[in-house]
Amino acid sequence: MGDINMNNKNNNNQFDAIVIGSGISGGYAAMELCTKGYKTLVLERGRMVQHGEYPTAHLDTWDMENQGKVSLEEKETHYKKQNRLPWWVNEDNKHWVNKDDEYPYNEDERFDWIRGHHVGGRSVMWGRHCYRWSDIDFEANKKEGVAVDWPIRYTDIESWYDYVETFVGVSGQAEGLKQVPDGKFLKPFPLNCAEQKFRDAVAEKYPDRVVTPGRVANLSEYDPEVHKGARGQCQTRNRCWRGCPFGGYFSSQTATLPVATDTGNLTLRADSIVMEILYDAETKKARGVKVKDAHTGEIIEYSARIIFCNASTVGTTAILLNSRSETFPNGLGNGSGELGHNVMDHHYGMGAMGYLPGNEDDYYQGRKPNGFYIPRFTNLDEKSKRKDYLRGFGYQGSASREKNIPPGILGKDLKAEIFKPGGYFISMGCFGEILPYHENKMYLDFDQRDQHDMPIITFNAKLRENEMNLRKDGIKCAIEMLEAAGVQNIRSYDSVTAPGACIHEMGTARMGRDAQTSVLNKWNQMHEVPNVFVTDGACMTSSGTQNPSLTYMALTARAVDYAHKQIQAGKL
Amino acid sequence: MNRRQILKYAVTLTGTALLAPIIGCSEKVLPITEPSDALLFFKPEEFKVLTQLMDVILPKTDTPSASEVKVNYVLDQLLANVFDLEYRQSFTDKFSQLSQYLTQNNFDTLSGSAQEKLLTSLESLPEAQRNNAYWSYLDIKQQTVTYYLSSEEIAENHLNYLPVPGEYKPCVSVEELGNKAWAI
Repeated sequence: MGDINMNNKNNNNQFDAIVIGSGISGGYAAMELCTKGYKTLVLERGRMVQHGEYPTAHLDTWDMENQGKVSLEEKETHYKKQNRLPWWVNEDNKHWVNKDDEYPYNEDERFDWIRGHHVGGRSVMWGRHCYRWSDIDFEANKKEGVAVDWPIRYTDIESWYDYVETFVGVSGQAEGLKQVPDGKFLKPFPLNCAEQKFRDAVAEKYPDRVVTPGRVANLSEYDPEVHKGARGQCQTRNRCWRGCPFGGYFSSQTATLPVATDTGNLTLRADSIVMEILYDAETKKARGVKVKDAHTGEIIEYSARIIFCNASTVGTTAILLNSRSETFPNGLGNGSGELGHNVMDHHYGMGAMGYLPGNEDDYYQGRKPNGFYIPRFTNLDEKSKRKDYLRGFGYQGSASREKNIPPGILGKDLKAEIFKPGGYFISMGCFGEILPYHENKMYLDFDQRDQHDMPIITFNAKLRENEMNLRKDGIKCAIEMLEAAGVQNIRSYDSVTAPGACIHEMGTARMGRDAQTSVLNKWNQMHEVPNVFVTDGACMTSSGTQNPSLTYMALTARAVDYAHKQIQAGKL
Repeated sequence: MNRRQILKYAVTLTGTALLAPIIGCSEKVLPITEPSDALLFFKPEEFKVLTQLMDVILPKTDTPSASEVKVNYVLDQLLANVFDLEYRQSFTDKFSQLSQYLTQNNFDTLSGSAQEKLLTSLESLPEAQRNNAYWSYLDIKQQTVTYYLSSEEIAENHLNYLPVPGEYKPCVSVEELGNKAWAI
């Protein structure tokens, strides 16, 4: 169970559907297409990784060189950009991180493009937080006159959230909040005693701020009938980003790809770089894709009736921009000129921390795969409206007991202390929305080429005034919540991140109501090329404050359902 | 990363006196992978001071001393391989002042309790008098305890070690857990 099919016995390279990318949305597209009976080819530019191929899953700190840290020399040689997030590249997860010397990109403005090329993509090492969007998000652009209106509202996606959450398995606590609607939750990984105390203190002083267990795609309850594939009960090891041999969290390897395999309709080809989507001017549809084998350099064409683009926000748009034809000289379906524009992310690197006194006799057992989450609480309505910025921010944080290293003692006295747990330390980081600015963009530099002769992706995006004002309030609110809970020695921080650093890239092929100003319609279908769908982060019209993967999956399942109905009706 | 790679404790190293407390303590060979016993960052005489210092901070009692679980080698390796150049330089500068301070006070010939007293008085310097020797000591103390607790011997045998916890329990009494911290 769980092995992903790699059969590529199809001699004429003809499929019903092609999915570009095998990450969180590509895996979902593949599963939905295969279960509906479509012979589906999934093309992944990175290497094959089967479920279970997680080389560091069982290593402890002392099993790894350098206490699990990557050497300076290795970082300088291979991870100069990836290591801009100083916590990201470690001995236990570096095999999921692209080497910058192998995958170059350029920056007019700094952009931290953090990624790994392998089957499963970033679904292997994602943060796993899953929050629904609400109409506060879907209506924001229209209400504020920012960018273009989302072509969908919460009612369009609500049942798809239900559908996806059920299969994914999202642990969480219902709170009845309009900004992050409740979903189909498995039981939460509860707040520990100190976090519960923090929740209560914040609720008392700030009733509109809710400290809730992070909603994460980890199986707190495992039901083999529902959580199909190679899933299993979360063992609370909190080593998710290494890959989980128990299948405790949702990834393409553990869930969507094994289910797709079981249908007999899946063909997955790794090491396959999609160079471009081929357009047929006569039928006014895409006829297939041109692929380069990453090892042999062989160029192969595959054709299909429908194509799903799930190569990640930047990857998808790079392919579309490189798909140039007489009809579309500036990239496939780019009549609007918006392709590559409106790139977004979340920004972070700001927050506060300190010591939470008390709870000396309270400890926890197990390493839960989440901490707490504080959903956005500003600009939700007239009452919470801010004059200094639009949109809002949320927080992720945790309280845990530190090492016990008391000052002023050493020797036997110190040894009598260090085996005991230290006091509770609480830390919370703020995640803010980035507005969709037309000026924030990515494009291809056709004069420069990478090792596969593909044009170099180039970024020109930055945070602007709204984001900077929002950061200030995010820090201020963090401090006041910690103060409300009696936290001591509070320290705040504000280390401005570049776009990309939150690894929530969005936009560049946005959905909209008008083909003149957007790339995709309300079904994630290209306005101008009806058999091409984009259901990864590229489709997003605004960035919200919520972690976006759940929404990508819901939109993907919805788009496959639509495509299927169109095909059945003879319209596609 | 072969965790079962066994290295013997007593190997070639200049200054055999350094290893005296380790050799003879037991026949037991502790399984470790890294660090190896070749010095990567410190000069032998610096390493001697460091080791002595760490073993005063965490001496052998019914649990191993700092150097018995190779905390000294861990720091040597991290300084040589991992820490950025700026920190390496700042560590070296401060450590040389600490060494000087220890030499001036005949640290290596003092009795155990006098050694402890000297370091305690250094750590209790009033804020205005805190010098590089103070900061170096504080840094080394912090790192000594950290790597001590993340050594296999200590983590698996002297802390609560539960590699596959299974269920998460949000509130357990410390007493129930033997008044010990979690290893990981």
